[in-house]
Amino acid sequence: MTRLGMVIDLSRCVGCNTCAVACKEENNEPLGIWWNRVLTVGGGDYIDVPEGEYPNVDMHYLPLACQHCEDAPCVKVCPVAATYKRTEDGVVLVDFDRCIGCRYCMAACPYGVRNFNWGEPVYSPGVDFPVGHQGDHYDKYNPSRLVYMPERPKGVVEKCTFCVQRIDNNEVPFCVETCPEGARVFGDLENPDSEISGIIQNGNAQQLLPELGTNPQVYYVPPYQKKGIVPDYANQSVINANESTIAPGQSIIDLAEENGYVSGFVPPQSKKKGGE
Amino acid sequence: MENKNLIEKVNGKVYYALVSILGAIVLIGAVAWALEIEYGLILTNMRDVVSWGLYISTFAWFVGVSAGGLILSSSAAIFKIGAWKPLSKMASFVSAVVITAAALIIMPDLGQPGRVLNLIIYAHTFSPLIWDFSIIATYLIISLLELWLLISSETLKKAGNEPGSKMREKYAIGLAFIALPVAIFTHSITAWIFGLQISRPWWNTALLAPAFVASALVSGLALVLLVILVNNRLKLINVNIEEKTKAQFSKLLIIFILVDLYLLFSEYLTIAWPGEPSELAGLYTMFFGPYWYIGWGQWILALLAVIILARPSWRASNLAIGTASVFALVEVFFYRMNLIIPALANPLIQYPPGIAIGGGISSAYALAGYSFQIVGQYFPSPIEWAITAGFVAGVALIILVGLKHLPLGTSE
Repeated sequence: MTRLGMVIDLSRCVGCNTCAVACKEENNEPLGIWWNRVLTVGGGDYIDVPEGEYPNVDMHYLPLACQHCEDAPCVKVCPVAATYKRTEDGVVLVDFDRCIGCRYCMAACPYGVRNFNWGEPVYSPGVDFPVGHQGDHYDKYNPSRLVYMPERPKGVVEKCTFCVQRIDNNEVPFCVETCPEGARVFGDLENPDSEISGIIQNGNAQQLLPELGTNPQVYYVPPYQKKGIVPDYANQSVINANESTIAPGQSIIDLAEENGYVSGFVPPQSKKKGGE
Repeated sequence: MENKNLIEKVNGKVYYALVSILGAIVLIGAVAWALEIEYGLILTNMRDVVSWGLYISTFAWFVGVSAGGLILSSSAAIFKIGAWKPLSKMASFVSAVVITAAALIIMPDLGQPGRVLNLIIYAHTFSPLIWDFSIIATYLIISLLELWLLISSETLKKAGNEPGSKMREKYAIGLAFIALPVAIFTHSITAWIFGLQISRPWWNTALLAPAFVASALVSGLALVLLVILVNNRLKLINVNIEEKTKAQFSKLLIIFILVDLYLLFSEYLTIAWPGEPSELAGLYTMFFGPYWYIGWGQWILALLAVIILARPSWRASNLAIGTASVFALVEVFFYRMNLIIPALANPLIQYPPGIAIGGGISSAYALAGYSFQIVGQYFPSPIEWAITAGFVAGVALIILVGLKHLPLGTSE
């Protein structure tokens, strides 16, 4: 069986927001909706602001979208099973034809990655045509499920689908393809030979809010010199240089490649995107 | 004689004045709802961080308020409390009306109200929301059945069919044995909608279900008291209520409020003393956040109600009981608000820029940079107030008209 997942290497992420914008374009997200955001883990209420006082400043980025949890709270609470976990590959999807808009999933999601269409979609002035993927997409394995449409109606919930319209056609999610730093790796967590499995087994890849037991299929590699991916009240200490197997300037992804792990899923990246 | 006629005349005028005012509020609510259906929930002030607001608070409040009637009538039957029996029909009726309102106020909260039947067609039985709809439907059927049994028993008695009447009465008592646990579960399951969510530490406590049962008893009994007082004043139905019974209810209300406050104090201390940040966020928002007046208001109103009812000389006056009942009803409403808003306003992950507030916002709003929130902000919009007020007025209106036109009193 396949279990699709993603690793994001925070030591590669420079906070350029390309993934967030690429996501917004590919999935034609209206104003006010961002399936994919780049958070600043730093010192304040504003992005790109570090913690501390010069020269002892500290900051890194945390790209955040749906974690596609193994034990997804949103799937458990949905009263009409509009949000469901695809058994074939573990992707969590929303059926736009079935959602009644009760927003219980938004209350249940610990990661705050679900967006609601409070009104008819509004786009930037002058953009009166859908960008990104054109045409509705039905779940490859459950053809009655409408899991992507360029303009979602008002009153339904939406969120990251791992670009279901792309992965169903053997393409990687658009954020993976566009990340200029190559910080994102997408693949099959069940396949022990995949690049993503190599990174998770070899390195210090971690899940977000692991204590909740949701078991996300998205993993993060901590930034340099840090043990965790977010500040932890119990575990604030900085990683000891001797413990680290990663040399400065080398990322955990390079490490996996050196150890002979290859992607088990990712098709050639030169494949043309978006064309039907 | 003339004096009595005059009182009746004045009462009639008061009744029609009340009915017209409440009817007007219902109409305004209906217009607001029509607007909301046309333009979507963008007309509310709920957004993606605080994604539930006044409607869900009122839903949880209605569920609690409906408790009083059914618990009163079934307790009267099970424990054979003769003095409460004359109230049974009226109490079951009030329960049925309020629980119907609870089920219906979910409708304006849905983004796709036209798909509400999906709840039956595609019911996902693992979801606490489905449990709640099932138990609320059961609760409604039971209170209507109880009401019918009580009314028909009396009708049969009047027609001289003594054995038939006795039989119906027996069924009513049997049903009460089911009604009481169903009532307890209705409040517990409503609490579990929230309490089972690991994403919201402010909700995620085993005390939530007991606290919902306790606060349901507070608000439910307060409404029954209020209806008794209004009926005494307007003489809509003929019920024989001894002064003793009112005093009993007042004392019970004190006990219920104190139990509720005890449970909440225990909960707040358990959060405050260890000081775990994500738990503390809810408590802090409740008492020191932008909604502090609801946070403190809950406690002040609850304590005021206790103080008013605790003095025997005050307890004897209808004005005091009425005031205390209103305080108790509002206190529990504040409790529901204090539960929903601080929990949603404090998501577990709070890094800038925050959570995108959702689709449908105008381009000017988005371009001005208001499309993210780190901590949720919420105050109900006029549309939300109007729809909610419409529901509350509708409940009062139906109870009032029902008391006048349905056979809910005692025949003697």
